Amino acid sequence: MTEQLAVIYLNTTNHVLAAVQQSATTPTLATVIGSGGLHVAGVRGVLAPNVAGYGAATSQEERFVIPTAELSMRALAADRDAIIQPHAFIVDTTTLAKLPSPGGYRDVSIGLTQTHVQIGSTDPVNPGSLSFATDTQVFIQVEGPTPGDRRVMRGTFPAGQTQLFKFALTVEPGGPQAPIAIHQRYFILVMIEGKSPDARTVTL
Amino acid sequence: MALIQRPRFYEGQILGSTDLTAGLEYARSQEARHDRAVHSWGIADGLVLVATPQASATASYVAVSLTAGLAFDGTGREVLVPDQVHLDEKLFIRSNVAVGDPSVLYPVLLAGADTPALAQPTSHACTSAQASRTVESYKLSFGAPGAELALAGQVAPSIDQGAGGGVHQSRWWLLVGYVQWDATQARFTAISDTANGVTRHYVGVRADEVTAQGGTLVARARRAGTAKAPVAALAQTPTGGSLSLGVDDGHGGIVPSLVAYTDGTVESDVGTLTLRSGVPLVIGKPMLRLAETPAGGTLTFGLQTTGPQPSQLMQVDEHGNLTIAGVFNGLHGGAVKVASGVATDGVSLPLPDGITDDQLASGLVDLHVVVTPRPPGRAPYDADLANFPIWIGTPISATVDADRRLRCLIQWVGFRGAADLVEVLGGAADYVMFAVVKGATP
Repeated sequence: MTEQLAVIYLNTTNHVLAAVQQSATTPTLATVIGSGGLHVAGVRGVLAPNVAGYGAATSQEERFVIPTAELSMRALAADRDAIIQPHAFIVDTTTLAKLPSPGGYRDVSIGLTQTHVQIGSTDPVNPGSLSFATDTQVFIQVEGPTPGDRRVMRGTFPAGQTQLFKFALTVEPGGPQAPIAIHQRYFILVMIEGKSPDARTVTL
Repeated sequence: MALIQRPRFYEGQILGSTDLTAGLEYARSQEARHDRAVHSWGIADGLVLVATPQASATASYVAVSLTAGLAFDGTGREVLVPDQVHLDEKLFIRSNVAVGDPSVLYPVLLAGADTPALAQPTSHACTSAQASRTVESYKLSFGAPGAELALAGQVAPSIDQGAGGGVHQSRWWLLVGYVQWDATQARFTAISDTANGVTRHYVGVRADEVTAQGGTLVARARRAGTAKAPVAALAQTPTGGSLSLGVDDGHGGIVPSLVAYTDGTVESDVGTLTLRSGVPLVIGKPMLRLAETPAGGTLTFGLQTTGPQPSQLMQVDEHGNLTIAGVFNGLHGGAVKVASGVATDGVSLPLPDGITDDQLASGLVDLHVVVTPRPPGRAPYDADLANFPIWIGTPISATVDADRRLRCLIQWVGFRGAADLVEVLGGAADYVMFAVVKGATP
């Protein structure tokens, strides 16, 4: 019998966020998430000194609690690499697929205002030149300034549109706009369909 | 329907026959309505067919008679047979119900029948030509095979009516039994109580409440003194009450088999007590049996098999020895349940099977977790191997918090001459979780 690995992934983009394998049983999502949601830390971001076009850098201190409603769990054939580095994988229907590696480079710049998360190109001169060949899903979460204070957004990069994309801050996806305060520190998680997870830290 | 009238008399009234008859009919009708509405129709006593074997040179047959007895028909009429009566073969022949099959059963029917009669003269003078008495007689009849099925469809009189069976009234037929008929001999050959599921019907009581006066209420399936006939007794006891189910000891007493007490105790006096979810012999139905044995007793749970015993899925004997056919999933003092696996940073480690958060919270179970970081590999995902060809990953934390959430972080160092790169990323750890069940407090 094929060894099974239970993976926890984002509904919006299929990014794997965590994995667990327990002898004899396959746990449920509720039992492995615990109360409140899935705690996510150690997501790779852009290190300082920053490249001009990447926007905010990672502090390597980002921590997020992903709401349970945004997650699913599935038992798939075990993959050793997915166990030790789950963030490098997505759920591809019934299998685990490794994301293409940018080799240390980033595809997008990420910025934060009091009202929006801004995602643009890495061209420091023209950040509004970002475009996607196909409709591309994105999941964004802003955490801070205190634990439990979060903004959760889902969106789409429409195919062929070239611009600096702005996603209004909301407490829940599709909810009313919920601005954040200045002079505070925030963690940003950006999960773009087909691309590696990205975590940044911004102080407004 | 009309309101009931009763006669009244006054001094000097000239009484006619209708006045006197009305007085009698009032009481008789009142009693019939009581018998019809408060009780159900049927045989009250006797009226049993008796077959006496007879033999001739060429064949054997039976002489059938009906014992004396009392019944009440569906109109509330009392039907009295004062003496044992012989069932006349000629009456059967005149009934013209015989068919060719000698094995079929013919219902024997009884109905009340009024017959006008003259009074017994007290002198030889002035005898009346008018009937001045009514004989409350009866009539016996034979039905065709299967006629018993129509008896349940007889219609009772409306509530204001008195007893039936009068001269110009239709009769209510009561079944007293069945006979078999041999047309060749023109004799009865056997009797029976039941045919086509229709049997003798005895009188009953219609009531929502039956109250005993002496502290014990008894229900019997047969007449008192009928040995081994089922008996149920509801009895007041010094501590409350009991409901006993047993059999007649042959003298009207009860030999209890099962007793339920008002304190919630259920007692078996036959050595076993069985709870079964379905009817007998339905294979697979759950059963629980408490049984006495020479050594003491056993409690057995299982599924019904083709025999009377349940399959032994679980059994406890008089020494407390527990035998089970399946897997024990419960807890016992000193037991250790183990779960092991591998999880990534952020996962809340699942508990071993059979262990719950409530058990942990109550202190019934202690949890011990051993966490060992997994080797992180040669480089982090998405590493810039062109500029940092060599990476070393070192676990810097591998802990489990109060929510059993794993914290496992890897510090990665990428080497590139003088300017190295340091990153902290999520990792994975193997874990072994021991759930230790505490023993009972001494």
